[in-house]
Amino acid sequence: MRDPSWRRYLRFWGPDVRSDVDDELAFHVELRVDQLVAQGMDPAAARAEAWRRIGDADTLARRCREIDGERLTTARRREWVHEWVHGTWSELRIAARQLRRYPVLASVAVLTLALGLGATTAIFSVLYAVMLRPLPYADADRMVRITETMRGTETSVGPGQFKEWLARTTAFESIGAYLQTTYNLTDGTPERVRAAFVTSGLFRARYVKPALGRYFLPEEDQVGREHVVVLSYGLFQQRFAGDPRVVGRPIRLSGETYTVVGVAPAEFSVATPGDQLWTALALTPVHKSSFSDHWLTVYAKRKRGVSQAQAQRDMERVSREIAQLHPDDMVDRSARVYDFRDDLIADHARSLTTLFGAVGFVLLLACLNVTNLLLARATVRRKETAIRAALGATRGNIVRHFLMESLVLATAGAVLAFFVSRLTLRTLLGLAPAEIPGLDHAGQGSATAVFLAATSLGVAVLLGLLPALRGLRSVEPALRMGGRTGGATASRDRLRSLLVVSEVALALALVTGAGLFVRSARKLNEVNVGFSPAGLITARVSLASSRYSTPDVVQRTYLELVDRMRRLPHIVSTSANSMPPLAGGGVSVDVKVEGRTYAPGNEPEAQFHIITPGYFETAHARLAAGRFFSDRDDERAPSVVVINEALARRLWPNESAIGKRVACCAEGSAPMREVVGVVGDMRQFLTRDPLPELYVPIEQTPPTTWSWHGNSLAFVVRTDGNIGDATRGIRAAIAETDAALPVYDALTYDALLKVASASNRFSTVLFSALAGLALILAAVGLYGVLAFTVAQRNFEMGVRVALGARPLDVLALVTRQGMVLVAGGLVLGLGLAIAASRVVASLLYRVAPTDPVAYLAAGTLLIVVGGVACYVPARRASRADPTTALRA
Amino acid sequence: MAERVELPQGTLETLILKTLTWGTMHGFGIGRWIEQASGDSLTIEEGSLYPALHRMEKRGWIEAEWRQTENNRRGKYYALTVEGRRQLKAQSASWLTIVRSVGRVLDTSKQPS
Repeated sequence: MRDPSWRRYLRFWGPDVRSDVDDELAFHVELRVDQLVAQGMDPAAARAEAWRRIGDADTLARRCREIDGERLTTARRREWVHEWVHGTWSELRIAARQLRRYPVLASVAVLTLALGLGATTAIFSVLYAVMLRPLPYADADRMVRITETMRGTETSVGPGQFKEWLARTTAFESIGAYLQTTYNLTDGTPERVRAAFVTSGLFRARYVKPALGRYFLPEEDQVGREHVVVLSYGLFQQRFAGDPRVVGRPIRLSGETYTVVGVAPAEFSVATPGDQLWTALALTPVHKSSFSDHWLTVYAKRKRGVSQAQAQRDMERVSREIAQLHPDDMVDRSARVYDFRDDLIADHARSLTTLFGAVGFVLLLACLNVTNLLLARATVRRKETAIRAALGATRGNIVRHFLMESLVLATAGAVLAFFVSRLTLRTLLGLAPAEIPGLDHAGQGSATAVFLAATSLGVAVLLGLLPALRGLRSVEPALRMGGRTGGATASRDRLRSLLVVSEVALALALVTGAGLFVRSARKLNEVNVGFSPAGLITARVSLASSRYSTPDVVQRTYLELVDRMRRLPHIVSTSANSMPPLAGGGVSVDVKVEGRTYAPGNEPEAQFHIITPGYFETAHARLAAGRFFSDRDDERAPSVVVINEALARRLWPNESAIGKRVACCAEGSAPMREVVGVVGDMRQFLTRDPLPELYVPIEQTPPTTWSWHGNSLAFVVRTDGNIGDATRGIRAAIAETDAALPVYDALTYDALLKVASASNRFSTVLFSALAGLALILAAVGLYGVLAFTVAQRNFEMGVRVALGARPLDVLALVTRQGMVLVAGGLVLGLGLAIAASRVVASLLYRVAPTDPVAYLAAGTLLIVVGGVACYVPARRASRADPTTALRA
Repeated sequence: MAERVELPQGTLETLILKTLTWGTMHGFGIGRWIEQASGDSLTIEEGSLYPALHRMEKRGWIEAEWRQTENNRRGKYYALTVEGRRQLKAQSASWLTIVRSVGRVLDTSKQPS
């Protein structure tokens, strides 16, 4: 390298600025004296005159020295930067060249890093999309959801309460109510659309600029003005071909006319899965005075400068005020404010962060592995390092040399990791439960790339540091030791052993985690859902149009449909239920028991079902006591109900429920119904205990109950296994009855079970994949260390064999060395696993985080894999030929 | 001897740059040359000359080198750098503009309207 010209001066007068300036002034004086003497002055006088002209020589010299000092500082800094950049670049090239000389080591290292970094990046991109990505709404950080609470448990909001909140709260700049519904969208092919009633405040509380037109006006919250609709972007594209002229046009929803006033942008949604359109919610005066029914969801936006805690206090104050006006309706009730984002991701945050933690373990494992490889190489290269030091490389140079090597590896790993992460992400998205919000944004934007770059850089430093420090320490002894021994120093061996122990520990923790999830998945498969899902299908229709104006017509139509389907091929039996099992629960009613009063707030509640006779038989439900419904339970017969075991336990824990009398369905003191049967529990949610349920035969259900379900029922049909033909038959039968009737929520129970367990399966599959990766990495690490030791101790082994050691002795010696490491790792890993398992506890179904089976299985697996990893190098050592070894 | 004048701020540096276009020179020589070239109407004080030289070295307009003189003395010689040449061009241009403009104003006999 050529010195830049200014460096010559640096070296020439170096740091001695002081004498420099003095010399320059002295030189000046000499020349002046010469000049004055030449003009005829006496030499002594001339010298005095020369100094007089300079004046205050000290001050002058000091000023010059100051200037020189500044110049030197800048020059040195510039020199340092230049040297560093230039040196680093050449070191990078050297590192790349050297790694090319060890292609196996380099590829193993790069591949390991690519897997670790790729998996981490993929999971980060999911985590980012769901939890960190900025939301598209204006002032998203101030968006909240407000619920009522009943003894601390959240409930929906009563319209009366909502009206009071609007009038009394001071913490919010907008509040809106939301109520999901569905419509039959006619005009062309009839289609069932997911929709919601919303008040105008909702679009202000969750604001994104509309794609077209406008949102609802405050006056459209009034009865008579509410026939307006805002379309979702998806429906606008799919149904109206993105034609902007749709704004202002009328459309038909369940037989009524609505005017399209606007289209929401694509990124707008209130709940997942998304609504397809929104109509204005006009609360009637009757609604507004109702404080005992709770059916609204409320979203709001805090005022600027109002904290979450202040908003919460405001809601509690307002709840107390309402309680003074309506004491009976507000027993044990208050309200709670949830941050919108926390609330949205609450169900997924834990599972995603757990996965991120697990993949972090894998990355750490990958780093340990590569560090181990580099350490092994640092050992071999001790002499090279020593020579570099002897030739004048500073400690900084040596550290940089090692760092550059790890930087090259990490960079290559990162490039490969980018593709690994793309691939992993695609697999992840295929597996992920669809209801995770924001998942479709995964992998988009620059955040993921930034994360990958930053992590790779961190990994590079982590990888290089340990070998570099080791390299520094070995600088001196290496040269003195000479060629022969070549044995690693004891401390280096200890360090590498410690790394392997950590790897085994991390792997054990991950495998145990995977074991817990697998156990949990098996428990989920064994869940008794209370019915037989094989061949059972369900499909829902809603008799919502004006054709079905009276409950009588609705009831008759359903019975006709069930009857028509019964005669179709491939169908074994048919029935209908307003809320079939595993559909997530539905309408909850207060149950009144003859001769009993419950304290306010302590009334028993049950899930309310309208069913056709034959439903229990079709579902293969278990009869626990009494009888199921029959065709004779019609409107002329005495009113009867069937309850499930959960409700029977709640109401009559110690006696038979049969023959007892209850009332439900807001009938007041009107006819008590006799409990004629108790049915085995069927689950509403796969992973939750069954809720109390109450079933009423379709011909005896009170007319008002139809409106609770939007006049809809789900057919529950047992097929002979030919699901495709059976489903087509059902659709045809429905179309024959009413061609404008859309069929929706058509599912097989096999598929439904899959969806219900999707989130658990997601965690299980991912954890297992990560654990598998961890196992491989740990095995490679163990193998690497042992193989290296064996190679290093070839001489020693040769001596042992020469002195009479049998191959078996050598085999045992090496294996023991390896298995000691595995044992250490298992002990450490057990502690780690127990500590980490607490985090996953809430994600497990019916499996304790300390489940002994999972721990035992994981431990055994690691011992087996560890044994294999030890055996291979041990066998090689046992074959050591004394003559070759000793001559080497 | 001609009338002595004070140099305006910054002018000294321009003059030093000009001087060095003739070749490498030590501080004393630079001062003498400027005095002579001005017909001895300028006096260059050591107290301004040397700080100016060091400042210009720091800015990279000139570079310095120690040399033996013919009388076997060690002296510090200054030479113009590429950047120094650029500076000289820019500074002399603006200096001439100022001189001409000021001169034109002073010579004007017209009354302002």
